[in-house]
Amino acid sequence: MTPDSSPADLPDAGPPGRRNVCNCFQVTYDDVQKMLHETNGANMETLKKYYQIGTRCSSCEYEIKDLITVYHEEQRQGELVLGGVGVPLGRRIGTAYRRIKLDVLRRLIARRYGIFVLRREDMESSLVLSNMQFPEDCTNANGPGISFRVLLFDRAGQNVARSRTLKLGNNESREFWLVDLFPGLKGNLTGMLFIDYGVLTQVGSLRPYCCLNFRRMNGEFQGRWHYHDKFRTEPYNGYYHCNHPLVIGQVCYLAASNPIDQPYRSRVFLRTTDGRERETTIEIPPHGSLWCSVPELFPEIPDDHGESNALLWFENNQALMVWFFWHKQNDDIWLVQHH
Amino acid sequence: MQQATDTPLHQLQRGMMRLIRLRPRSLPVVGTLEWAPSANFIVHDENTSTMIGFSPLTTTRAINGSFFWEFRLFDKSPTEPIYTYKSDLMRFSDQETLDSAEIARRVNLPKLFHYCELMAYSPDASPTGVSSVLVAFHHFTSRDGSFEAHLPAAYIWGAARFTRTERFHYENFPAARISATHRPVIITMNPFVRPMNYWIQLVDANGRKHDEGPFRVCGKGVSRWDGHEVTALGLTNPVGVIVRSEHKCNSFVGAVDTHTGHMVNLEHMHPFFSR
Repeated sequence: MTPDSSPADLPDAGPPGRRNVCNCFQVTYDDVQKMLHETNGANMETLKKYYQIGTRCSSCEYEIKDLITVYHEEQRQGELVLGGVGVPLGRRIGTAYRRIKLDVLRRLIARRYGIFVLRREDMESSLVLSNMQFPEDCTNANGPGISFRVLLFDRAGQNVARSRTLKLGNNESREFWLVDLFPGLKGNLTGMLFIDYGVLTQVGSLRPYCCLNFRRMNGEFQGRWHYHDKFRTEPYNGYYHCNHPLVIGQVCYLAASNPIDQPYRSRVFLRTTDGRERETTIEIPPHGSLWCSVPELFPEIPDDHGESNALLWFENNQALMVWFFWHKQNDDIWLVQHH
Repeated sequence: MQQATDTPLHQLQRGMMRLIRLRPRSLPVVGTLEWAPSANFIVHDENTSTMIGFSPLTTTRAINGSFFWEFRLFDKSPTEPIYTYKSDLMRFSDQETLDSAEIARRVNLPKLFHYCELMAYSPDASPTGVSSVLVAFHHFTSRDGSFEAHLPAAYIWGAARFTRTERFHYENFPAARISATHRPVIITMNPFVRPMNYWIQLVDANGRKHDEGPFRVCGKGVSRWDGHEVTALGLTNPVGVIVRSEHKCNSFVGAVDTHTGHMVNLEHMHPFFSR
């Protein structure tokens, strides 16, 4: 093991509550909690004015704001369990109803996740899941095990396979190849998986990842790159984009899967360093997927063209799951990352 | 909405939801809506380089907004960056990139493995959440393949209501593969000004645990752990990875092919989700 940056002369950070939040005035986490209790959750400006906290170097300002936010959320949660003294009866009943409703919802709603998959001669996606205990109390909120099913959709959005109900025990990690999930499945495939958990109390560590496993020219396993689920049904609050669509020595690929029942259509723009803007369109059917390289999207861009300040973005922010893959040709390595 | 792909269980569940007229609804937002900084790291030497790309359109659709971004690089002092880049006014779909070679030249350091922060904001476009972040992406590449990755900036604050944190903060990563041919790498950033200890726990497919640490990372620092020794432990793959830290940190888990020295994975971890 080689921890790279561990200056030996640093003082021990101490128990969590006694750690400084504001180094300039030696204000600890516990002190901030006391201040918030005393002031009934005052804002940052009030804390600055009366306690001086965060007024010198101001590097702790965001962290204190975060503590204030958490404090207010905890207060609100406290009200939700009917514990608030002096809270009007109507409000207590209302908050209790919301609390029960949330709890009921949590037990009724199946948790769905979604992720892009690919299978061809030189690479294949596998699904990886870990159902780890929460390390502090060594318990698993979801009990001794969880169950789930996996649905597979092809490029056109057809539901081509459905797994049997699978189980994952407490503290168990497993990797599922497509052939494990769907024994009859053959041939190359571009598509999407839906992972449907049954009843979960907490998601914990169960957010699904896939691995892109890639092989050497001789077929030997070479490496794998994790990427995680991006399931969404609501529009995105920004633009699906890639800051590095043209990297020297690498070809960038777009992987997109449509998680909803509506087709996804969008103009896609590529602006190069010289300011020139190119435009094309993409269309992905409901539950369909797309896999193409940037030179395929914009044929006038040569395969080996690289530049530092290119930007690619989609105009439509309708729900979509987007990842970018880079193939570094020299070393035959694949990188993956969501947008 | 009825989805054609629903299993009978889901159809039943959705039917029940309609029957009792329940809809998922999150709690109202508490706190000030504001733009917040994000964290990442930079690597540079004669072999490796980092290209940092930022465009305001990343998490906003305020097409008439004006935007600014500030890049800060930290070395020994957690409160005084050794290099700061401040952009001019940017329009919504503008993009700027920073190259690690230029940054290394400006700070007069031949090698960089440093924590950095991005603060992007708009004076006239409203953020959508309590700690909204306009994210930059870092593209790492190397001549010999030893450091390859593409990573988004990491959120430092926010999302507390979804994260399960008790005495310590935890991040997890599912199903890593550790073998004689692939050794694990973990890169941990400390976005706060105080130093932090962190521990690494590996949980193999059979639930067998192996602990490493504590390791210390200084304020606004970054630390790399290479698992040279754990490849010989005989852990059963796949292996779950947990980073336990004294306060919230941001970690990435990767792997190096021991034959070629190529980095063949580097992806960010997730906290334990409390809902």
